Amino acid sequence: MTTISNNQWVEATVIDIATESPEIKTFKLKPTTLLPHVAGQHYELRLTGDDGYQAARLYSAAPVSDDPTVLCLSIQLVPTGEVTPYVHGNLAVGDTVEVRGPFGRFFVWQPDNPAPVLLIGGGSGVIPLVAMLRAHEKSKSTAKMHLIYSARTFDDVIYKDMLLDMANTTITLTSKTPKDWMGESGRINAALLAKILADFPTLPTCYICGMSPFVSAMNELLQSLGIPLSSIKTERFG
Amino acid sequence: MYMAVVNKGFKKRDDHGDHHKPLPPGQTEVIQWPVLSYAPTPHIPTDTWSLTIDGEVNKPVTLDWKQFNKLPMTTLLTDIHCVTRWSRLGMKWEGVSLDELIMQAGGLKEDAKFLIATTFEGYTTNLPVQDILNDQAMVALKAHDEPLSPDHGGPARLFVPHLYLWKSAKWIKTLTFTKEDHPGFWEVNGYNNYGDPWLEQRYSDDY
Repeated sequence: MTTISNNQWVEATVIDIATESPEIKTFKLKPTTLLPHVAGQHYELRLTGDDGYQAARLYSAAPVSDDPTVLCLSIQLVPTGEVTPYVHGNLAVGDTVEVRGPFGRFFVWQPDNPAPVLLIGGGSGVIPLVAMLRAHEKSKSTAKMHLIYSARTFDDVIYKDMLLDMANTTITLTSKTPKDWMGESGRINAALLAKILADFPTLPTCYICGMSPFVSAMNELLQSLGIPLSSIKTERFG
Repeated sequence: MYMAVVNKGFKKRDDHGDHHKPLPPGQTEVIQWPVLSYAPTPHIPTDTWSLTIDGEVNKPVTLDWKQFNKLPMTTLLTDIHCVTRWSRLGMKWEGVSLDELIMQAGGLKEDAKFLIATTFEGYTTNLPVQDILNDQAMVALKAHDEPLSPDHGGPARLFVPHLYLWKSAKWIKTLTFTKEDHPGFWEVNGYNNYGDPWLEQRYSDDY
């Protein structure tokens, strides 16, 4: 197999579907051509109706497979949307879709970057950040990396197998917490950020991803704690 | 033989948004206004704000916030199209037309063929001059009668609604007219040099 321009649509077969949370499913796709990516990048997924109508959406590459021939997308259901209700409700193993990519050159992490990194994700905004965490874990990087993940409830936490046992991950639940919950609760505030920043040897590069109001709030908190704008990378949706 | 992909039962959702007007190909209407920037939002106080018009103009000029706000304002009722596939229809934008700003700088020299817009962040984008004349473009201060928030490019952003929105540089600082084209930040990073939504010129190879 050869690699091609990220502008070209490639056919891909659904080989596995896993439920991550009530709203998020992970689709493992086998494209007919390799489309290698860097942690943090995304792909475009296109559906074609019987009448030829097409719609495409961008989704972050998900960190759930080490097989370079498999492309994984964790997709959140948007009930009022056009594409995700079909993807969640109709797409089955064996079906084909089209993909192209990867896209994005700024909100990425490369293993040769020696700077310490703080990742802050809200909801499904955690997907590209966990991809970076996973890439870091698999690399020889000695840079410090820490993830703060804000989810509504324990059920909403995705990639539980990966994240619950990770020393460099802090999960906070904003809506309700199980009785035996050992993590943080409530929204990410200055005190929590200051506590985690205190463990960094030097000021980290910060990646924030989530809904727009979340990203704005985190951006302001980090700046108030002395992180310069030039060290903050953001990706927003909604 | 290439078998086209068909996703059985997938169809356009007619209740998705309000399709009174045609949308450019591949776009979906949104009701809210998403925020997309490569960099985090800067906060630019109006007392340190300025706008410079230079390059191939007869009388380069720098306007402060007060001077800028004394210029005649124009209104554009228009749709906006973002390369990330959302469009927002029927918006009202208010600001100073680029024709007026060029007049403030003594008019264009004959060799002025391109506009290079630079933001307070140092981000640049490039546009052919013919795309910003004749009330096609403005430096916008308000959308729907509200001052532009920092997230949406406030206090002032370039606004060129007939092209994909990355051409409408947020946090505008300098408008430089040049003889030659200088592809900007997104344009050298894989996006189309022109960005016509109706021709779906999203990426470098979409001609």
